[in-house]
Amino acid sequence: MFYLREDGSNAEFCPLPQWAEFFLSVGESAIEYQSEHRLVIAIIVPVKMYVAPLIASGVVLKSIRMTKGSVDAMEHFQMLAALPRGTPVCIVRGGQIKKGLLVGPRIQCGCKLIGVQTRRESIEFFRINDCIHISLAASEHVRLTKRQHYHPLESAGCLPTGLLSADELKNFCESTSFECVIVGSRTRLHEEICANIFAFKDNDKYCVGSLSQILREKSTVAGEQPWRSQIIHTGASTTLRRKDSLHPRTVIVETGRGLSRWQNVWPESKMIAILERTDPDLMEAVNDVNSRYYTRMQDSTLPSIKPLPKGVELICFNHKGI
Amino acid sequence: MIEFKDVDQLFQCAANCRIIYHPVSCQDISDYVRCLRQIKRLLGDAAASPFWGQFLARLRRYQFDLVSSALPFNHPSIIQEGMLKNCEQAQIKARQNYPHIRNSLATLTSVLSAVMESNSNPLLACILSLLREKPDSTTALLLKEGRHLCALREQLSSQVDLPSVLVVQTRSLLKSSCYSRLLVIGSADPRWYPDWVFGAPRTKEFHIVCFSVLKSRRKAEPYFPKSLTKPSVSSGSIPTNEIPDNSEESSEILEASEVLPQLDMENLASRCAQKHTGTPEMGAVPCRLFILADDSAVWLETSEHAHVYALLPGSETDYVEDTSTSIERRSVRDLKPGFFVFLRVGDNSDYVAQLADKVLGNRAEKARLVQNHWKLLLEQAARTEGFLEVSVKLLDLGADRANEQNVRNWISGRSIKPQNLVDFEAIMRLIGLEDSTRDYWAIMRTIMAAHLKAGRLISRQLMDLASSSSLSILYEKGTLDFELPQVSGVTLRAYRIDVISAQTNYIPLSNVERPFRVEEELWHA
Repeated sequence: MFYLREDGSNAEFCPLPQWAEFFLSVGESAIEYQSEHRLVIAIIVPVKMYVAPLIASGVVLKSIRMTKGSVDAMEHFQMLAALPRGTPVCIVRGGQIKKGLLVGPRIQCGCKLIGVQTRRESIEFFRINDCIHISLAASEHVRLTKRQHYHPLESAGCLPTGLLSADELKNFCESTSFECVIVGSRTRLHEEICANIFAFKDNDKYCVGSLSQILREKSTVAGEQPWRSQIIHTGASTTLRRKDSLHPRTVIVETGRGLSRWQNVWPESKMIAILERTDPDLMEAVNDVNSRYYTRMQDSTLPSIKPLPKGVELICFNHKGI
Repeated sequence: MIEFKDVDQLFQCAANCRIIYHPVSCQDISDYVRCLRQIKRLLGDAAASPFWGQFLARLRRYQFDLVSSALPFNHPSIIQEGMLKNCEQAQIKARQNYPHIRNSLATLTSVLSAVMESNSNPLLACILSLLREKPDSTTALLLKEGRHLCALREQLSSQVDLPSVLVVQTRSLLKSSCYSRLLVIGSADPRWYPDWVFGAPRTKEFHIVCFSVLKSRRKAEPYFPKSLTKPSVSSGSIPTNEIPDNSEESSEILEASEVLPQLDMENLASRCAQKHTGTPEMGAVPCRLFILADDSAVWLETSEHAHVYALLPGSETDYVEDTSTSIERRSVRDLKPGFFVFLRVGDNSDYVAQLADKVLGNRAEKARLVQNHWKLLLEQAARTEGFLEVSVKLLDLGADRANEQNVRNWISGRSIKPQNLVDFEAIMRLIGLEDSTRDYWAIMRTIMAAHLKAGRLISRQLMDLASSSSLSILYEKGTLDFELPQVSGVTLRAYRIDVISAQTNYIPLSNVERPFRVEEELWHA
């Protein structure tokens, strides 16, 4: 990958520096790693800017590549069935999309179905194999009208087009998968993922875009579109999230305070803590991580991590959870 | 917004940074350090006595200023009044009771007198030569103490052949700017500067300028056990100032703990509490001691209801600069070192109540009478029967949260009313005003609403006053006065909180939120 470097009136694409490649690879290694226990990675960095978005990008890209465009229909059905009635969803078919509200599971003539209300007075039912067309919508609130037609799906953007195969891209655009949540400063993280230009070089042509195209962050994609990640402010309420049946696969926190507040909210999710050396809560967070390290699961293998850039410390272990 | 290329630069600094040590020899300083150490050793336990403690404290402070400021030894901002007289008094005392230190004291006096007359500082000479060697505008000078900033800037600006040099404190290094060189006065020891100064460097080249008597090396320790770490700072290209193996010589090296102020917070809090407690009185409230930026301290109440105005500069670590700095009324329990607390200058009377009365208008007088009435009756009950007895009675009368501390809080003029109506009903039953409960409660809620409105007004006024220019002065100096335009005669001083004691002491209300000097206490050996 490349990034656009602007110096005064000059602008040129430069290869992603080694440290940035490293953080992308941390996200990839974390999502690739399978274990029955909770994976914990804590990283001490000289500066935390862009670290969480890069790790999250690694998580999202690797996850798409691992699924190779296929989704387990039964697993998807069960996930939808566990969601509360009224959850905003979208139905995607043939590159077109429409919004709906989840009604929930039904059994009709011995056949398991999922109902989605797509108009004020109309519910559509989907068999297990068809439910892969239902995805969670980005918007928290969906208003249904008397009539609704399919409309074109938002394109993935140039950057993912260059980085993913056709099948992977189709899955990426058409389905929601809660790959990761980033806990930190919302304003800054949004700026980092939206305002900077990154690129992929295809022959002599640059496919240009921002990290938001890879992350498909919930609040940055339009209303009913599928999404892949979410940014949550460190100070947000953790109580509601605990009750939520939807769990991210990876939790990335980028402050010591974030770690203490959010590490037990999704105990099944992989945890990546980014701790800046200037963080006033660094020592508290380090002590917390170290105490978990001493009670880690000893008998497990760990994901392979690339050599660390200078100035970065990393610890990685499996923990039995809360 | 911080751009990707700027972050890249910061990572490059962390990857390629090196430390270059510039030990500076100075006979005067070595003599002074040796004499001071010898006297302390000869005094033994007596060094902690009030007389010798105070005597040594002044000398230690001067020692710290000599090695940390790079100012000429006779600069008025580091010379303390009456230092030589102090030595003469010590000599008189020694003649009577401590004959074994007489000679050492005489030597110290002559060394001190020689040092105080010197109008130079070899550290400054070393800094100037480094600046002249590579004159550029992106070199910065890092100082430990904010109170030396202005004086050193003046010294440097008087050098006509030099480009303007930035003199900064550690806080400035939280920003994303990178310097070509960072000249550090003092030591790389983590007790001098926080570990992140070197661990998250804002330069590729640190130059540690320090007296050779000072232990100056930094040993980087990983935070995680068995972490896959690479050291963030490579060793210096000129590894001088190695501590010699010879034990006699190495004992001459000054440890950071001998130079920096020693804070035994528990001891200090106990000593200050003894001074401020006086006779036990009804209005004593649980407090913690806060050490503030200008060598002063203050007792702040730590009850649940106790709030103060605080400036939270945390946003700087998020690189949003000062724009998102917030001033809010915060629970004292939530305050942390590095925050700024606003305290009234002159007295500690409640300025929020003053503005709340303005908000209440002509209802204020009656409302305050009612408030004082039930509080007075409750206080009388507590005086007669005791806090424990009153709290038990309140529980019997239906209170939810009655205990000794809460009864104290409810009596205190700093709280308006209990949080829950059931507690207030129990109080009213106890003091025989049960029939007026609804009326009194309504009035208390009116006062509460007026206080909240006044609080918001003050926050807004302070935010208006805290422009970016005034904030930069505040960050640098550690204190700054803000005059509230809507409350006549009220000036608030913002103080940076440096340390907070862990222990709680009961302090009379009259001594709470009243800063007092602890300058000498901080330098007690």
